[in-house]
Amino acid sequence: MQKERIFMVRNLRRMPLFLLALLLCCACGRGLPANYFDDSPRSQRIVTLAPSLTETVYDLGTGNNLVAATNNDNYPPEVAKLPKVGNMYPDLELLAAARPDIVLAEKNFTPQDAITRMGSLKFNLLVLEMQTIADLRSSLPQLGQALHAEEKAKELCDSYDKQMAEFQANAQDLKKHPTVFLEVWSSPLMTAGQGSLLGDIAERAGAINIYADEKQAYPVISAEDLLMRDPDILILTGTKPEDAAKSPGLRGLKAVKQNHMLFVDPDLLQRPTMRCLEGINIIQQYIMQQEGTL
Amino acid sequence: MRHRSIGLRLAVYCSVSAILVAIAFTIGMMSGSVRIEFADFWLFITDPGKLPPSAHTILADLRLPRVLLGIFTGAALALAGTGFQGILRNPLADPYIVGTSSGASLGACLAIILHIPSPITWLSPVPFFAFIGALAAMIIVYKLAEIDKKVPVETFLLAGVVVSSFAGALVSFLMTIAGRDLHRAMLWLMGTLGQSDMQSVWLMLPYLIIGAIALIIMAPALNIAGMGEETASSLGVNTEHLKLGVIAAGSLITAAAVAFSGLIGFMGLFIPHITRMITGPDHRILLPVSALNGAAFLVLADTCARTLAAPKELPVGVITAIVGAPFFFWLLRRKKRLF
Repeated sequence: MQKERIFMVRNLRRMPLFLLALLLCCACGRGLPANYFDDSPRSQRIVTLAPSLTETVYDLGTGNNLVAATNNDNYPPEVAKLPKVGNMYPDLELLAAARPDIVLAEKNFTPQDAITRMGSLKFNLLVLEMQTIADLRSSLPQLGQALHAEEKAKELCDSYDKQMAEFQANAQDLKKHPTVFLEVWSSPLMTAGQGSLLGDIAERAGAINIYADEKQAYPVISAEDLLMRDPDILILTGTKPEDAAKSPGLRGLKAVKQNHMLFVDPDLLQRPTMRCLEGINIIQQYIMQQEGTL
Repeated sequence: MRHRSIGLRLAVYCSVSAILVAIAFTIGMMSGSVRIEFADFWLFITDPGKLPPSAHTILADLRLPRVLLGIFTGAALALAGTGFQGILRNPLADPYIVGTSSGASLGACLAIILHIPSPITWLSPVPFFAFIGALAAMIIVYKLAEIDKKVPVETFLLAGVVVSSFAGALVSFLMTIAGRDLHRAMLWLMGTLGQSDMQSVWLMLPYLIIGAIALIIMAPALNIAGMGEETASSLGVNTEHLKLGVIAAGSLITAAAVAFSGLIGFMGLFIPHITRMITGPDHRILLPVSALNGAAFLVLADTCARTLAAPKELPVGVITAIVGAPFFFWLLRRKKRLF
């Protein structure tokens, strides 16, 4: 009994030491070396804080000047090799260690307090709004100037204008604008409403989004309501057509019965980049093909 | 040691703990998402002009405010916890027991989710409303618990639970309507030192100094109050005045701490317990040594929070609770008296 008590008291005295040792072990010697970021000479050191901006930097031909991006980036594939500086909230220590000449941020993606903090740390910050395809068009000249790629930016703008004019002409030639349901997610059933990129893409392709009246950008809707609105075409980004045909919520739709379903790679539709034009093209081509059967 | 004078014991314990703080400070400054070598850290202290600019930004603008805020917040929570445990004579008391945490959460969530602007232009809304919320909750709890100009410990603890539950429900409601601000609100509620800058450090310091001095002045009376209210009264200590004094000082420093770093749980509970095991129950020694230990612990915990999953940052409240909860369990299982 006596012995046991002494043992307990001893253990008790060791407890703080143990805690401290544990923390010391965890805290010591961690962290990336300061030379984690590529030091090779380049005309400009760029860091992007949003996937859409990263893609656009590559589109502008300035990808070689990119020294770091965010964890969310996955396109183009070579971005995987770049060092990462966090996600929505960038890791400011890593950002400082990257020694950027310019930091590109998206106004809605990076929270306002993070932008304020970066400003107070004297980073050369360019904050752009890139939510819609129109935002992309209006940001391109500004980005081109900031990244010293004015020529390429002008090229992209011209290509953008040309393709958009084509899409518009094609859309006007349609005899009937089909109604579409834009599936973002299957459970819960989520669609694209007002101000969403996907809704914008579908409308530019010449379709009528049946949920264009929804105030939320990505509202969750009920299958019953969808059945009431019964669209001509289903544009799927989360479900394969064969699964949609089996889904109890969707199989009653006339679009499913007549097999008017199009699966589009969501990567082409979720970021306002030049790849969106490809998304518009795919949807428009499908509508034009199916026009006779609708 | 028991027979030596209090001054000597105080000096010995304090210097050991101060060395711990110095070690924690050095480790905290050297580790992070980017590793800083000791040579560079030494250069920063002796001749910062020679550092490369990126290392200087990391050390001076990012880490120094963070480590200092960690030191002050850790000290504040440990001091408040020690004071509350002493005056309430309850081993489960922590800095948040008087409802400061729930009041601060409500204030912070209002500011984050409803985007209420701060009435003071140079101070951002979250710390402002968190501070106001914490003090408001403390005053409400105190008033609720007051019976015939006296505040019995039991009613005080219950009033704390009542106010906490009510404010907690409002916070939950706000979170359901938060939308894209939810992430920020969650980060705040889990406690993080990531929002620190030099301004927050300087704003917090006066509250900590005032609160700490007040508590240390009350330390001899706290020792007497520990013998029970009746004994204390017969020895000439006005326990009601003392209670009000300790609660006011403790709440003030807790409010200042949560305003800038959110809810950092558990450390305010167990740092005083650990320190008491080492120094014994004399509040004249316990209070300052607790403060130093709390400072060292929080800086180390925050360093872990910054580095374990880098470049992702864990909320420091998660680390303190992961280390603290097993300790708390162990504490509950122990039969030995703590007071």
